[in-house]
Amino acid sequence: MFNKTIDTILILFLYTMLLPVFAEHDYEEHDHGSELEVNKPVNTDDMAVLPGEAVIIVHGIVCSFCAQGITRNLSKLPFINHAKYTDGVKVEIEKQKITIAIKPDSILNLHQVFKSILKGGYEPVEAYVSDSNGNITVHKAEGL
Amino acid sequence: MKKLFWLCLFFSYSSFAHQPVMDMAPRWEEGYGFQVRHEHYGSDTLLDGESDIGNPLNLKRYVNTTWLEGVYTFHRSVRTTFKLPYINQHRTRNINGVGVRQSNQGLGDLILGLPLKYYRNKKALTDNFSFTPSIRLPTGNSSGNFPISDGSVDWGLSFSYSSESPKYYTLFDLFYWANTEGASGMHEGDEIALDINLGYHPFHSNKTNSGIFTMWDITARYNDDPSNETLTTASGGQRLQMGPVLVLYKDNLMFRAEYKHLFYEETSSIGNSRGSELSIGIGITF
Repeated sequence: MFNKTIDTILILFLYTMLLPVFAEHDYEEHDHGSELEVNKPVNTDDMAVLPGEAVIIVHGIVCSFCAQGITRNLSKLPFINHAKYTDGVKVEIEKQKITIAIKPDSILNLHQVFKSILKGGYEPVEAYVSDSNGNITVHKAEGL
Repeated sequence: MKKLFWLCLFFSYSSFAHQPVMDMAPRWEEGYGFQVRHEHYGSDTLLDGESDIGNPLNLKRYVNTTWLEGVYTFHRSVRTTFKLPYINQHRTRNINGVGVRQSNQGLGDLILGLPLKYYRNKKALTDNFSFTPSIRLPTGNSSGNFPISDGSVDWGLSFSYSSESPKYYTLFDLFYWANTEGASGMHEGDEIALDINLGYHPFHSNKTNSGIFTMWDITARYNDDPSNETLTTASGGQRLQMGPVLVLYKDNLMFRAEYKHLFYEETSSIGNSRGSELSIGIGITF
């Protein structure tokens, strides 16, 4: 009985070690943002960003319960529009994506956004920002 | 026993940390959380080694513990934790051929921990390696015929590894308690244990920020023989427990229910089986 149980644990261990590999493979198939250039207009239908919003790709953000710190930090920023989403922030763990709503007539400070995410325990990768005409630019999170 | 030792050694390459509230939260700077958890175990089965030897005196042992647990995160790599139990226990012992009921209740020993974590954030995966030194302070009462504490300062060390994707979660936690001698010659014996959590995340709503999380928990534990003077619940031997865990969460609130079935147990002397365990708790993070 005991030996069988131990063998079962070993099999479960080996199986679960493969799970992260599968998880990362799934993401690779849907990663359309890696070839974008810094601060250049983006022409892609895959990254929908509404005017007055920014979308940030964040590595490791797979659990909303664990990402509360990010939501809290971002919602404290002065340019966040609390009227939309939850205090102006929407987290999509399936896509490792955070959408923030920007107040009209306020200036988005991406450095503060990236810093807030870093203090929340995760790695910001890049942000997609839409201007009033719907043009999207991408900004890499560098030099934090 | 030898196989259990090699199993622990094998897993120790990738193992773990003991974290109240949850392993993953709070990982944000200046984050903190609390959890209240009630745990019940006990049995009236009498074992000699692996064998059920019958129990004409109806000897038994039942322990109810309510834990207040807390965590504070300085940085995602450095946290501090506490666990304070309130214990209500009773047993029936064989004293000179007669079954004598003994009971006690009160605050138990305070456990302080310092989880040190190394995080890796990847595209659809986050994982971390943890090293957690702990100390158990003798805040519980060590007097009476069924003391709550043995009155000693004990030292713990945990190594853990956990990984999480949007759908799956794994935790491997190998921990060791060096129990020192306490009051009246009581010595509970050292402990080594392995915890494995295999989790699946079947449902999450971005709109309501709520969801369901399920896990399969596996615990293998070995305890050295306590000294003859030890009157606490400590007992020598090894056991293997497994069972389901259900976690419900909404925003910063988390409810957790856990059942651990006793699959295998071997006592080092005649004594009550540990029995299966039931645990429910609620946690909140800020």
